[in-house]
Amino acid sequence: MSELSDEAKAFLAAHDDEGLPTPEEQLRVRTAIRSAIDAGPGTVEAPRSAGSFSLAKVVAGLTAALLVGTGGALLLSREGPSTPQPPAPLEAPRVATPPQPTADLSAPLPPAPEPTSHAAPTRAVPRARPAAPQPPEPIETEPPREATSPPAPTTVAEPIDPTEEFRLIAQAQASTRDGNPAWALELLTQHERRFGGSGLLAEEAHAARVKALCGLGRVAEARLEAEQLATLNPSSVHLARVDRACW
Amino acid sequence: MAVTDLEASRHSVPMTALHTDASKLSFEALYDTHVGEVWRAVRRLGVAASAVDDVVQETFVTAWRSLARFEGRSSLKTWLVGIAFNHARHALRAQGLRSGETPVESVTLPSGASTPEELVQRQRRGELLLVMLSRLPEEQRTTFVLVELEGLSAVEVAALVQVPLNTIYSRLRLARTAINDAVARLKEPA
Repeated sequence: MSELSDEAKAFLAAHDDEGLPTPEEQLRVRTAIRSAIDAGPGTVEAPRSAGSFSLAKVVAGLTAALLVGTGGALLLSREGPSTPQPPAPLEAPRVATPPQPTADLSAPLPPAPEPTSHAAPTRAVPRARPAAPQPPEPIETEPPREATSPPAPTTVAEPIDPTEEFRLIAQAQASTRDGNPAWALELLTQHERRFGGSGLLAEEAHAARVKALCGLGRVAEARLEAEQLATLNPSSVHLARVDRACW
Repeated sequence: MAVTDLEASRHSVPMTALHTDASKLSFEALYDTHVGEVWRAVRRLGVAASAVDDVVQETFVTAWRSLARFEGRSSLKTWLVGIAFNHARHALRAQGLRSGETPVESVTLPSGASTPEELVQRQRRGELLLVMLSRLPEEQRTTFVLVELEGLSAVEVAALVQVPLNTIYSRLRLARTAINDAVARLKEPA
């Protein structure tokens, strides 16, 4: 298959931020969405678009491809609506409510240092992650069960609040974008301490770390991080961008 | 179970853990973490600047209302981009029917005859990639954006767009060639 030239890769890397929203746009749309969500059950009928993208179809397609053999066209299932139900119209005015402060994501965190500090936060924990996903370590809340006991649940006994994780990652992403990759690394170190490799956003954390390291000019470390992501999550959606991060 | 295992093997996030925890996620956290990626994808898919707000809103409203059904079989980003793609597709259809809009498609890519100053100006406005993408046929652009820029696999895109996988590969090959050529032309002397 035709590959992108090195020139094209460099071009895409240089234009990676093209199309991102301004902070004002982000806030305006967030306010509007919050209004729509808060509007109540009248608008709650969920479009089915989310369900229309199922990896079950992908796997079914892969299976079909194997059956068809080489040279055969892989035609994925066309069952079900290919497009979402017409999404529920958003009735909320765009700027009807006062803007909500973006501080929602920053409140509990210490203030970011000035971008001049490029000191590398050190990692507290070695980043040894399994190549294949492992079930989360169950939190021991009681003695091990006897063999005659019902099987232990495979889910985490004490679910963590994902909002904190999302907040850390969002702030790290924004810090790098805003020219403070050192602070982004600090936040990512906090993320790693708190969530290890089993957070919901482990891949995002890897990608954010690569971009932050690139922002600091620590290219070799960034590439090492990118390679680690590729090893641990060879199908990660972040690989393409991460691969170009330091071009 | 084999299918589930195959799907799960792609991801580092245990499905059960994600399913449980997602219910506690705040909308603001979801939005702030992913709005950049969604916004950028929508723009790159060709949605006019004037319609991006709406598509992004619809995407997150859909995602938020569907979050309980998200099983973690794909990454959250893949899931969101999939939703965004479906809403963007509707917007693009509507966009094609309206007049008076100025979608990115109407902007012409600077040719080799453009002055270096024009190129620099466009570069400063950060429009070159959008313009380049707009010159691709829609199917190629969609494939290129989703695979090359947003990082979805060709198989995922085939499922999303509902075309054979070989078609996705073909579109991707053509799009890459076109982008390679377009980038090379940028360096040609005026």
